[in-house]
Amino acid sequence: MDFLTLIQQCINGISLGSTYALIAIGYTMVYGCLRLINFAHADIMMVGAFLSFFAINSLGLPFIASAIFAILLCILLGIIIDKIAYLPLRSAPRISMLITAIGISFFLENIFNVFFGSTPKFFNAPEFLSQNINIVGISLTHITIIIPAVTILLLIMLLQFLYNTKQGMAIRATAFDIHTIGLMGINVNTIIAIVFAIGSSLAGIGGIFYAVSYPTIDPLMGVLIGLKAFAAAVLGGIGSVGGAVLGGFILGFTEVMAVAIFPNLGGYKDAFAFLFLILVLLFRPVGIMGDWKLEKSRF
Amino acid sequence: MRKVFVSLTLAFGMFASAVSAETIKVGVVLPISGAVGGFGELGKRGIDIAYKNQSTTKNGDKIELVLIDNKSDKIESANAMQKLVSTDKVSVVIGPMISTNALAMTKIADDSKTPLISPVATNDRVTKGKKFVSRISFADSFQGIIAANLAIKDLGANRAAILFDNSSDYSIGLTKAFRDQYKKLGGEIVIETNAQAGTKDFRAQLSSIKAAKANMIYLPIYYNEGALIALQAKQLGLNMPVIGGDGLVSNKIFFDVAKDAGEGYMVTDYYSTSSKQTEKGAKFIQEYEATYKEPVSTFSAMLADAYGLAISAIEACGANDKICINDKIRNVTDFEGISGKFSLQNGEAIRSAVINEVKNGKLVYKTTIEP
Repeated sequence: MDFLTLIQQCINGISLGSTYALIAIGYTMVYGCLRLINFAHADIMMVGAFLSFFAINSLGLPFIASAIFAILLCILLGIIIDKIAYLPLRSAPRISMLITAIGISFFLENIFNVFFGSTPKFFNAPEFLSQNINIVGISLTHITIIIPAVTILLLIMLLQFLYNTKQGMAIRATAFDIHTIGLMGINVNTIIAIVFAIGSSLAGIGGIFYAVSYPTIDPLMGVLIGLKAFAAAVLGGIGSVGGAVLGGFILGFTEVMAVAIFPNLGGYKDAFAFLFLILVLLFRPVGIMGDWKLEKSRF
Repeated sequence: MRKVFVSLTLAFGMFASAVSAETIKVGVVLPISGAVGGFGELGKRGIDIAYKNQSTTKNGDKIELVLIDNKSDKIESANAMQKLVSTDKVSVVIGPMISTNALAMTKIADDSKTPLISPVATNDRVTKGKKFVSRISFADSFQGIIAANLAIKDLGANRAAILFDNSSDYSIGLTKAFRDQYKKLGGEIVIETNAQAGTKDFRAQLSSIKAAKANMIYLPIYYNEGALIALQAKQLGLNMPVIGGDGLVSNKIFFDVAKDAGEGYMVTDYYSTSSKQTEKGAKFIQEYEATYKEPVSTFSAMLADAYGLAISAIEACGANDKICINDKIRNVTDFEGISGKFSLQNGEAIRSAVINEVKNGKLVYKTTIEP
């Protein structure tokens, strides 16, 4: 591999990894608070992409407005899912919530299948986003720069929120001990609703970005990327926001490099990604940035 | 009184003749949902038009279609075939669309002695050694050879990159045929890499192809991934001829997504709306465009032809003689269909191939290659 190709592959890795990172943050936040792996998360991402698609094509909104529309509805959806599906199970064994999450995931996939059909739809984002920039033989599109930048920006904003606001402190406290915090006069359900709202908005943003980079959307688009983002969250250390972002980038990078180094095994790039995950977890079971003293700190 | 008697007899006679007309069941298995749902949609359009024009046999027997969605899945396909054979007792089965799914159905067809007409599944193993499976499309081994000939003889591209899907029987079959013929003609395959169905990022593979200094790409991939590959190839600045199989540009979504990135892509195909048409074919194009406001897809035409062939065999044998129906299908000569004239020899189609090219966002006929 010559130097230029190597740089190109690195950029490919960053562009793929940043979408994983964005979705992984949502997994990690909900897990941190509720110890729940929210399998419906990736489907909210799909919903975000479809709502934006719907707003552009059927409501005639411009792209930015459609994105805001989609993100707001995703937030609403996240809160509703929490209220309907998870709230009644707050004191039930954790496995019940996990099963409900899978149920919600199937429900969302199928309802969108009914309304939009299973054939992929073309997501017509503004031309500008997929326009090409060519620097000394290395090509990248505008969106490949925008996504990592937005991911990092959102990460910084989220950390600011968690560490410098009252609600942020309450979220961290909930993550620390959900049972005691209720006794301290904090409304746990409101805090959890905020967590779902943040997670879902990130999923919505992720969905729209994903649809811009790979402009075909279908009701099952969340399945594979959800699995990857979940793996990224685990790799980075589930419960750690920074870890989720790092895990996303590492996973995207591993996949791209696996294909670049072994082109004949390109079809197995997912296997490479998961093999790498297993290797990391063998040596560091809590993930890269996870804390060994799991119960002591969060995010 | 006599008048009443006569009219009663007449009425009874008509009633009797209505009873003597049978209902013949024809099974149709299509991927209406799932990964290749786009194929199923197009296939169903073909079947619908064909059925509208010919819903009774010439003896007045009524044809009833039993449509099952196989969800693009091989296990669902096998279940569908089993149900059609044992519960619905169909006389003949048409479908499914893709090779992987077809392969799951062939054994049941043979075991139950039910003729299966595969409209577009091209993998060689679909019909190999089977007594009750026939196909009206040509096989991958033929399609791959044509693509290799086109690459070397017409385009003079002697350094090929192959980007295929190692989870698809169709893609593997085409790759093998192309690779053998290409090497035989003196070409060099500089890189072979995989792209699995369902994934969306192919930049790593395409960057490697670019680095390998290939001067053409062979792309035996279906439309969903194909469109994204076209788009990403253009973004990465890959500028070389691309040849694909019959599944590459076979859905509108390819043109929607790839836009000008798909310009100049060539595919091996059975049919083109802009080549010379049979009488049935011209009528089909008219009806199709009036109904769906879109150019006719190859897959619609092929499904309509599979139906037409099934009906002609049923008419020759009667509904219950599945052995005879199968024999008529497997050895039909000069069947004039919508997609052109073709013959079958022991279930394998002998037909000409066309090369289509994407020009100005449309599929345009380039040349015909005789078998």
